[in-house]
Amino acid sequence: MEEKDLINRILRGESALFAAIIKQTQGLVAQIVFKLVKNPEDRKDLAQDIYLKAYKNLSTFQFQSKLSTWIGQIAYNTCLAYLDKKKLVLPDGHDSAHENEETLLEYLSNKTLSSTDNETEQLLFRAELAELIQAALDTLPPMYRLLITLYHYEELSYDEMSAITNLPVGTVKNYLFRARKALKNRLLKNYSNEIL
Amino acid sequence: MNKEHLSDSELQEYSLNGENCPPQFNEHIQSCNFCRQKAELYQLMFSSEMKPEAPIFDFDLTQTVMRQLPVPQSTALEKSYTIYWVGASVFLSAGALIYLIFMTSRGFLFGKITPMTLGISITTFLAIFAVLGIDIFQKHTKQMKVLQSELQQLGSLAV
Ligand SMILES: [Zn+2]
Repeated sequence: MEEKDLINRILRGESALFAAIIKQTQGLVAQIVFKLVKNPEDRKDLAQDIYLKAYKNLSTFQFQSKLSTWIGQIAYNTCLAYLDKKKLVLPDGHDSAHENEETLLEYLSNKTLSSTDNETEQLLFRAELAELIQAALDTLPPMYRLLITLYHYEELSYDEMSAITNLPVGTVKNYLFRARKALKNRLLKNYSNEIL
Repeated sequence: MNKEHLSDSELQEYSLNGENCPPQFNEHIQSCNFCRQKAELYQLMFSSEMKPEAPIFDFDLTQTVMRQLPVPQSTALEKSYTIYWVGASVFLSAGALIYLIFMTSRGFLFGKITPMTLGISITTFLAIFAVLGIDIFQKHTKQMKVLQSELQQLGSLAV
């Protein structure tokens, strides 16, 4: 069913169809809520709150963006209001490179090179690295975590991210650049702890 | 190795947007181990292989939200239609009955219709209207139920 038909039918009283909208968009909403909010109980309340708001305000949706972007926007704003209340920190942007960056990179490079003899060992290392990346991502400020997730894992465009976060595209790109750099630095830091 | 290392933003641009980069980025990276390894790390970090599992809520979000939505308007609509149908049937039946009594009593007065015929006629017409009324009401209720269950199915199936 077309998005527009679906919405019009819900607005005409077929509220049971709203379930389809939740199913379509809850992946993105989960990403936003999980990246911005740590507490599981609060996540649960926020997720419900987001969809009840979306239902209540569905008639104000102007079809200027994808419905998922609009609901993403509601999710972001709802979480942000919660973050403000709890005074959680947003980007600091001061993540310095590891002092032994060159050595660490060399080491990593040798481990991940496809020419490495032992294939099993390499696969194991890559799985380990994926875990290290996840752990490093979890230590980033919520905004950085979110932007990396939306861009690299949910594959949203800069415009969509800009609409969701209500930040100018330039700011989104700038934060994203800083987020990647911070992630790389945290990863190398974690990795150096691992191998030392 | 030519000139100084690429900046972090240049390396990111090269790693994630390779084909649109100035050729000198590529030249430098080919000749500089440090920058090449850094670029490779950026590529690896954001490759699909390193993509973390997407989070999912540990409860049925759809059901929890749907239970909290205000009563669907279609139920209210259904009730108003039902009242309309029943009202219209009663009104039509009553009108027809009055007309019938009026017509037959005139015939009765003029001696053309016997009380027996009158009784049979009234009973027959009453029966017809009752059957029609019940039939309309039942059909309507059935249609509404089918519609409602179709909607619910659609709602739970559509992904
Ligand atoms: Zn270099």
